[in-house]
Amino acid sequence: MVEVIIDILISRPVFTFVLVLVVLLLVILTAIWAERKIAARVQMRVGPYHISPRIGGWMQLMADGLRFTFQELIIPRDSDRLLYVLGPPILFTLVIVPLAWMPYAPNLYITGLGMDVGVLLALGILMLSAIVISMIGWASNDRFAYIGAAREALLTSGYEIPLFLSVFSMVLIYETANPLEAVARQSALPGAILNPIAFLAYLISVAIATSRFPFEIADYEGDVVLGPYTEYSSVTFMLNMAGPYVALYGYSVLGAVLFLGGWLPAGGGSLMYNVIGFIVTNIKAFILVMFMVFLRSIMPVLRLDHAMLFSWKGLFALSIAGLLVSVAYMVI
Amino acid sequence: MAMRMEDYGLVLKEEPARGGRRTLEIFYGPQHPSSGHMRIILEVDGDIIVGIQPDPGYVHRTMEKLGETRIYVHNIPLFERMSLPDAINVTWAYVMAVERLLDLDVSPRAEYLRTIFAELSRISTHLYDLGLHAIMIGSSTGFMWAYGLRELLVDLWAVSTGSRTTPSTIVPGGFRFAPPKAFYEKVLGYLDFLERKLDELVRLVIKNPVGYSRLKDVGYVSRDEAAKLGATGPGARGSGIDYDMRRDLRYGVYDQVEWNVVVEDGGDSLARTMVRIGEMRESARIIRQAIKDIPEGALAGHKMLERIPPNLRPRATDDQVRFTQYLTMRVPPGEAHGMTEGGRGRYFFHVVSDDSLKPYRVRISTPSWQNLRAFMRACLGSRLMDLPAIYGSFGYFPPEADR
Repeated sequence: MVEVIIDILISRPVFTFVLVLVVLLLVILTAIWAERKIAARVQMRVGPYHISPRIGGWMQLMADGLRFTFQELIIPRDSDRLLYVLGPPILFTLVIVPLAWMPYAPNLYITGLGMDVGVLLALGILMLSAIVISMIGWASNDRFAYIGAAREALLTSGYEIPLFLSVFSMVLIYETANPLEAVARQSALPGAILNPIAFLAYLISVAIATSRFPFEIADYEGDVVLGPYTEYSSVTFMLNMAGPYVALYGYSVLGAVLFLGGWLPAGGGSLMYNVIGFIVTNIKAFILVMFMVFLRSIMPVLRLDHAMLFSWKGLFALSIAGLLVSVAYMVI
Repeated sequence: MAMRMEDYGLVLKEEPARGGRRTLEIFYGPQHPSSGHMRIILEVDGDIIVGIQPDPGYVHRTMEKLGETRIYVHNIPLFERMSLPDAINVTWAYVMAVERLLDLDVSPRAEYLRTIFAELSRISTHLYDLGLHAIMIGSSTGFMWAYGLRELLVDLWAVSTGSRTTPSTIVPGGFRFAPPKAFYEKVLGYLDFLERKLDELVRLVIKNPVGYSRLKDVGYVSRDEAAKLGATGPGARGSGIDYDMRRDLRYGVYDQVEWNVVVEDGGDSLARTMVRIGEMRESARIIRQAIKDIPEGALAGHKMLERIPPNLRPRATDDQVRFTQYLTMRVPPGEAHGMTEGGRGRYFFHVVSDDSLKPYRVRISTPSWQNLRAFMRACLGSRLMDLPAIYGSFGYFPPEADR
């Protein structure tokens, strides 16, 4: 009996899943802490400190999370109660599921099911979260949430195609949508050097998709308070706030796998190599996350119509150029 | 505007159409991250503001009525609470009116000190407004930098007057606290630091491509409109109106120092912001010259000194103005006004006295209130996301507007 349990626990899906969850928690805690600390450094402040002063206030977010957990959950009378309550958990689920197809190391991934199109599956599910954000904005029946939801939907039309095209460019270069093989194809040169234009388009699209500065438009504090999340409180608020960060981590791991060579230069099949590969992949993803959260300290918020113009004229053209580069590789 | 809860839902409110349009009414404030203590009732057609109606008055503190219940000098600490960042310019306008009623003169040293402090007050207001403007367009770094710079300035106020934001240092006929010698050195050091950091602030927030696109061509008010709607301060000078009380009314020692009135022709948020930046540089110029030229002498004018016995006169103004006469001062009947150019525009005080210890009537006109109509006009037809960018560019300050 005990052996069966242990077997299940050290089976690849369960073991990797638990490992990924732990790393995800650490990365999110560190990312939000670092976001606040970097901003504080730039702004001549101290930043989070008083919870756990010895590690620089790193546990501040845990304290915040605890506080949110015990906060009263308020459901507005006029809201669509079912969608209102279901929205945040669905959002959180949708952004966490794509991690199933992320290969952290040659043998460390949650499921091999559908791994042949793993990149596209992960991307497709990550993109679905925009629909859920629009949904919770609508369900709140609040004017600011309503406008925020409409903005989210508009922005989706701006970043979705460039995001897909930039990923698709890499799929064309590697001639596979299998993330494991995609990493293997980068043994000579990482994807970011093979197709830097697609990498740039991917970074900008991800910044819009996860509402990083300067594209924090749907939940822009200046006019729509918190956008779709305005009415939320307690645990649902926490899920809503964590959702984009989990999505950011998902996009970053995908970016590390597609553009930065995943676990390379570590390789090989032994346990040791897998552990090192896991760490390398996460460090690469973490660098991308850090870049995204750093933008907060230097950027104001772009206006909605400027952002739309930028995505349709600039970003779209950029991703098409990235695609052309990939096509050129194929022809040559 | 009585509305039943059932009618308040989105779908119902979106249906009534004007000219076949579907518009949405938004109550922007008074509890909103960037509305300040006021409500703006917006009507948006998609992303465009087609109707706008201000609903101020949430922080009305009956300043004018309270002014009638206090003796003349006790009104000074009251009125400076109208606009704490700009405390000196507010109280100077009031004291100017009282001095005219009493026919008091001001000593040269006090005039210089008033000018130095009024310019510091202007810098403080501009930093305050720039900081709020930065956070309104989303740049938290701009907010923190501006407030950090202002923090150093209010510490300088604390050095010389003992209070960070409410110095109450302008009194009829004089200047209450003589700053210590260290103050002058520190101010010069502060101005150097300010000018350096101001360049960085401009590069980070205003010259930043994102910030530039948020401000450029946003909230345009033409020259004629600004004049017609009575805009003042940066709201007027940003639209190309060359009008500044300091130069046109010649109070203080502004005519004895070299400086320029900053005027921008853009008429948009960017122009109003650049007027602020330019004025801070000019203020630094004025303060440097005033500190160089400041004469020695009494802190109060002759006519105030003549009201006390000769043997008390040296001690009455050595490092601080100590006149118990202020508390028993009867003001002859009459009316007078005082006007100063504050950071946000013109402060106007009209004081009516009836030969008693307290004013009969104090009428106050503040720049934020003056700018409200131009602010509303600028918002009309702009996008919803422009509203914070326009709000911050006028530096609308509800506690000051509501008095």
